[in-house]
Amino acid sequence: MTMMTDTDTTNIPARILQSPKHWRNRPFAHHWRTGDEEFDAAKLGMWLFLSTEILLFAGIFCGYAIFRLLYPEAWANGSHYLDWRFGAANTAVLLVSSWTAANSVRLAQLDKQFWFKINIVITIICAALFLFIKLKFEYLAKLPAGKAPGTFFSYPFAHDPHEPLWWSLYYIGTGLHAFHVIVGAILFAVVLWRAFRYQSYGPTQYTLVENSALYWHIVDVIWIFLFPLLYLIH
Amino acid sequence: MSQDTTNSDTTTLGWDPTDPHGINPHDDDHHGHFVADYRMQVTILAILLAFTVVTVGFYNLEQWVEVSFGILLPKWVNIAGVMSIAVVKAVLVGAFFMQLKYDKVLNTFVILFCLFCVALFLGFAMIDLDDRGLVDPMKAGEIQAGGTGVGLNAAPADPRFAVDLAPKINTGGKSLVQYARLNGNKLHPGLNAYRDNPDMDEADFWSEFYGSHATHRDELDESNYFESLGFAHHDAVSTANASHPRHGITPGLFSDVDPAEGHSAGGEHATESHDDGH
Amino acid sequence: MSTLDAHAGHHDEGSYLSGPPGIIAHIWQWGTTVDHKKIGVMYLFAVLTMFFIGGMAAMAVRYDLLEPIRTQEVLNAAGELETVTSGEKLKELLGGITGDLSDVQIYNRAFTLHGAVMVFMFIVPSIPASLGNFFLPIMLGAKDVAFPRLNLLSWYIYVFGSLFGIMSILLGGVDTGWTFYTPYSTTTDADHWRVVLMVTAAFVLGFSSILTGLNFVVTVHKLRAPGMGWFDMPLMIWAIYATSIIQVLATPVIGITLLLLVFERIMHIGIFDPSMGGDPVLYQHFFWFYSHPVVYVMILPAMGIISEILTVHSRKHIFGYRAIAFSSLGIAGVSFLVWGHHIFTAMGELAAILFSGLTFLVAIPTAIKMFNWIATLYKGSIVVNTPMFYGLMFLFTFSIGGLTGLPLATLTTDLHLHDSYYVVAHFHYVMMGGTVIAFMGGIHHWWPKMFGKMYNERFAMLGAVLVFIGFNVTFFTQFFLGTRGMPRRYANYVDEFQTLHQISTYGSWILFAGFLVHLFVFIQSLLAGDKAPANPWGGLTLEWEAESPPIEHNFHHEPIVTHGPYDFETVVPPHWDPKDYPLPENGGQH
Repeated sequence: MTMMTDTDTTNIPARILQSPKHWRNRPFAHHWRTGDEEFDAAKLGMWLFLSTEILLFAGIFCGYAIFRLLYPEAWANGSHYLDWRFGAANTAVLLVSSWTAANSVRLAQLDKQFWFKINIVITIICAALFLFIKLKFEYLAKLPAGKAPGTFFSYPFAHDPHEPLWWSLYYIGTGLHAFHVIVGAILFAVVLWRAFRYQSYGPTQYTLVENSALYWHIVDVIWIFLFPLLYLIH
Repeated sequence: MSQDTTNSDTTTLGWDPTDPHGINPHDDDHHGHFVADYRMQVTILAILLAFTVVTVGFYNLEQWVEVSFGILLPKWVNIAGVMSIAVVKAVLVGAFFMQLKYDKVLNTFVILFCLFCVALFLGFAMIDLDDRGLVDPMKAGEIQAGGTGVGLNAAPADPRFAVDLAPKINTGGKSLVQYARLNGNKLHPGLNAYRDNPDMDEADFWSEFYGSHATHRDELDESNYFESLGFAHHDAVSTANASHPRHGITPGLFSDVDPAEGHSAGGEHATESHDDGH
Repeated sequence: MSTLDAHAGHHDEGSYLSGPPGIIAHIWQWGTTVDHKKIGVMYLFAVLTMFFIGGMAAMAVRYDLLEPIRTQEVLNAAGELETVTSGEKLKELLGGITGDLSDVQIYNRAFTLHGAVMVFMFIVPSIPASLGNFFLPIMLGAKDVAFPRLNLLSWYIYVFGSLFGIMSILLGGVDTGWTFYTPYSTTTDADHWRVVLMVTAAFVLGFSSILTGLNFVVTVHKLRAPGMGWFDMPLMIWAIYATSIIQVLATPVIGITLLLLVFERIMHIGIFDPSMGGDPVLYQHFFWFYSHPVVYVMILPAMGIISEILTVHSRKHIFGYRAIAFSSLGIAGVSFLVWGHHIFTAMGELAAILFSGLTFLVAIPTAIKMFNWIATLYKGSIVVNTPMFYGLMFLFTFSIGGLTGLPLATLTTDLHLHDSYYVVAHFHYVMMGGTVIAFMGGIHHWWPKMFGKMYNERFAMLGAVLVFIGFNVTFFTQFFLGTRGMPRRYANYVDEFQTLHQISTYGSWILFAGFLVHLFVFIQSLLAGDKAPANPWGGLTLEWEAESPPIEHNFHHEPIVTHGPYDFETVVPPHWDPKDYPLPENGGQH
């Protein structure tokens, strides 16, 4: 597969081209034989870290599964409080952002800097949109009504005695996930800043882009599982 | 890109600007990096969005089937259906967006082993739900609806057990839900408006809830709120999907209807809830 | 063949220990280093400090158990009856700092402190983070680990987490036991947020563990020297690799468990509280899903060290290399299947049967290793110096520990032995008799390489003998205490147990003396030890090709591996004169 790059350096100021952080000027670490080895190792390391993230959420899924078995009515009731349309919208937002993240990796590989930055920006915007939908239409709609975790629960129309348990798991699951969305967005913000300031990412140096995108995809996959489990219980 | 139009700064570059290898001239094998195809990614995105629609459609289909035909679908249908679609979506994201399909097999193996551990964790922990009282009858207590019946403010057995950090709530021995229900007016003064104005959003929601849901919860309608909204009729409901009172030797944990308890479960459920909280 | 130049002296790279002049510059260099050797040394000192702190807590625990607490009416000097409480030894000792706490409360804090510090701050990072960090890259022939900066981050996270723990201790300590079982840990005395601090410490330390494990897995996959395939690696690497896999996979679960515990405490979410529909045993499942694999994190690197020590000091090829390598992986794999054996008396019957059967399974790869080590010793040229003595000690004490695990795995006997001193003795035999003994052996084995100094062999051997005697006296008696019914974590007991408790406490004093001797040996070595040769023991693994102590980049040239790690019958060890190392006449046949 031929690599078609947009290597046009005429419009890039010399300050950036000569910066040691420009992707052409960044060497790989001294204990690696080639840059490719460093990249592959970084990717393997990232996959190992992603498996820890999955196991972190596994605890929540385990608690969810056990209590869904024990209290199916509370779970069904709880799911009915959630509007699946917001959940579906959030799912769509994350899927699109996943696509733009994967696209940004592709564009970094092709040295298409402008579109690369655009895709990163869209990914961050999608992250913000996800958080906005979650916060405004879900959390801030529910918390004042008393649908809150733990002892803050005070919703008078609950039917099943175990609904506070549902709410606790809902908030912890989606809250932990939202925290990871924020971390992912920060990673992409770092990538964006370095891309603007130093043009740090290109065909031979795009490790952080790749790893941030991998992290983002895992965040997306976790939401793919959280969405039907929380919103679509029958 | 001609060299002579650039200022003198670019001539101090240690590399040829047209060489994509930059400073790492021996990086010959980076051509091994897989570059994804734009069309492929867009197609995958479209498929993922389509599957999201399918998931939501499956959920709505279940609702519609229950309401229209009165069939009570067993619990596992919902789980199996939405989970299998979710698994397909996750595999698509992993294989194509995360490029596991084009990557070294080791990365796939890492994630598969991780998922195996997750399955172990969930599976073995869930096996423990039953049989607790078989060896030691002391552990065969009932987990009642609402919990042990001891509210959040039961006198602690020992001063060291005093709950300190959580907000202090005196539920007077009731479960949190009962307490919230009885004190809804005090906790949320604005909710009084629901009584006076049934057209408020909360009522709309519950109307839809009752309209679309096959079961009723009238036995728990202590303040007759829903009766006042006009939902005073009772429909006989199958207890197939109801929680049994949990105790150490409950048989049939994983079957939907327990013949030995099918009747008593519903009855106990009703009597318990009436006994509590008054 | 060594790839070091014969006249390596003309390279003017100093050892990794030499630094810039000036104390501030030196401290700055160590504080910002990404050199795995310096990080390993920092971890070594930190874990040994934690071992000392945890050990002092243990001494306090044993001290209190010298006498049972009795309240009697005695005639005082004036001839009147007065009530006197005797046996509250910790209250007498520490009453000045502990204030109003009763002796039992101090005792509870002491054993919790001992457990939490020993498990989270000492033993889990001990071998992987100190000896592993130092020697994994060198044994692989690499210049550093895969992610050196991540390594430094791991170190700082460890420091940060330990500070949380120490803060909790200074604020008065926690009395929940290191296992933080609900509902006590979620509802107990919440003054000063002590439980939350200690739980946060464990949470943060978990990240350090994950990142170290991640680093090692990638290093083993990607940074082996040319000529080193998977089955040419030293068995220490296999052991650390298996350990790292467990660290990466199991630690996140304790992370979420502790997070849920903190939320249960702060917000009463109800997941572990029966009054809200939750289940306290669920906490135990969550907790032990991590904590059981973590005991294999503790023992696997120790087993790796034993493989190295026994082969080098008996100058013999390892028996069954692949069996030991695959057993390491097998132990790591099966370790995830058996966590329920900590919960037998609270679990349902079906699950208990399942976990019991699986627990028996884990004895198989462990036994394979033990038999292979014994076979390795057979017909070897055994030199019983301090590392070898520790290695042989391991075979003895770890066997006892492993075998006494079997009555605990058996459901019927576990009913009697659960939460008794039998369990305490069992896990001390495997954790201390296993990991700590091997750790001491490893430190002595690699001390010349790490610091370039020899230690005083006679005093080190004295320390080892004291440790051996003290350890066995302390913990063997506890098996008898356990089978006779003494419960664990009890400050008080019936009079019948006093003799055994006293013997155990005196044993702990001998053990303490042994470690004190070692401490003095280490200090003396660092200050005034003889200069160590590059290969004092005649080892064949790559670290013995490097200088003692190694240069910054470990090797002058990238090593090329041309022989196996244990080919003592056919290869002269690096830096040894063939005249001093006569190869066996049958050259490789054993």
